[in-house]
Amino acid sequence: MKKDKITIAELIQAIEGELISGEDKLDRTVENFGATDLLSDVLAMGKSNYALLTGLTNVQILRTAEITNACCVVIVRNKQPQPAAVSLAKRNGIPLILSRLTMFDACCRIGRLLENPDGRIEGSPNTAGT
Amino acid sequence: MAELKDRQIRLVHELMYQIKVHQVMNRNVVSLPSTATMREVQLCMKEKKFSGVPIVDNGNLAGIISIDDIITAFDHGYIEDQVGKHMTKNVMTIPQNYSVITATNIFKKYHFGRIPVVKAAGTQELVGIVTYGDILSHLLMQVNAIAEHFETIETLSKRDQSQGNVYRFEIVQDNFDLAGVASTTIKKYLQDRKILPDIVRRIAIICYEAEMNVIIHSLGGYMEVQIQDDLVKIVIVDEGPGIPDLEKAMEPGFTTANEKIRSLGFGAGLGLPNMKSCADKFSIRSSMETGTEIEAIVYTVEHHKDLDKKKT
Repeated sequence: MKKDKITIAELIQAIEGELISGEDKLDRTVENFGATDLLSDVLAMGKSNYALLTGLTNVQILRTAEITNACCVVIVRNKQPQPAAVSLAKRNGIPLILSRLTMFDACCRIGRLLENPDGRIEGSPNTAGT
Repeated sequence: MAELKDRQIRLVHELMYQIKVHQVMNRNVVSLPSTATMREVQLCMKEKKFSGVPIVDNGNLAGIISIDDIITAFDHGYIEDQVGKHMTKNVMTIPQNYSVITATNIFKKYHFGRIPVVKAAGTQELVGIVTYGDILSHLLMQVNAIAEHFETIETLSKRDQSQGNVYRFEIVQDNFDLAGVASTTIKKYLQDRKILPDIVRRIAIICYEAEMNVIIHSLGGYMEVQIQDDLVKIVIVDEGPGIPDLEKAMEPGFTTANEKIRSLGFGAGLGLPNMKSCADKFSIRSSMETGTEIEAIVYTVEHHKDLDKKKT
């Protein structure tokens, strides 16, 4: 069965993420996705209620998220956000998620979850090697 | 009051993490090769009033000579020797991408006067030198800029009470840390007025792109947002230098932004076209004498726009 919406909690599970802020929004649904290191692209994307996956760690990822009504921000490749980014995320209650996966792997995991939402029950570590 | 002080301390603390060594360091390093004599180093120190000179061979840091080393050289009579033999090797360095908090900790712990800055961790390629004073003055500048910014927001909220619907923000050149603060503030005002989320979003994007443009490309300027009954008008004016080829600047993908801006996730040449597509009406004028002026209008009442379209 195909699915086009997942919750933030499901997203975190799929990408083995660590939630830094916005704990109260775990059951919100994610309708769209954007994966890029180019915030200009996100601003021109014309979508809202989306998960922003990025390798950037600066405060602008959260400002962009706020401006464009993103529902959460994921920093990939085990990078640490800058302190100003963390404090802005906490202040605005935007879920900020850290993942050790690469951008490609994180996207694959999410893609798989959307294709086969029941597969997630098996747990995510069976995707090693992607 | 206690809360305000706490906020100030937290702000400085955050800045210390945000500011990187390469932003504050001195790039014009005066250095000598290890074949130079102690005498040459001494003369260099005397001329430039330095108390330490890095020794660099083929761009890589080999050691450092301090004023103490020179005094000892005079004392023991080897002032004409080459420095290679007498310099301090295994100098403590700091990679340029480290935050100044690390540099500050090193200064505190070892009481050095300066730390040589290397290109990356694990390399010896010298790219600059940093002193405690460099860090302090940069920090003061930043704190000052932020204070000014908050003053603007405060005056703004005062204006808000008196005028009701005109908001003006000063935008400072190169101040990336505050980019988007004005736009997020505007966004909150619009949300409070119960304007449809999608329209608020388009206006916020225009403001944010505008803010970024002024910060990246201009000498500074301001943004004025007028909220009227059925539309929002955004006017962005900068002090120059102006856009040489406006037609080209409106092409998606055309950019003059540098590597630093791109590394922050901006400068892809999508800003102006994106502003245009988010706006219902968009006009731009630019002169190499006076700068650039942009006016964007977004209708906040959906049917108004539809009527407009039917007419045309």
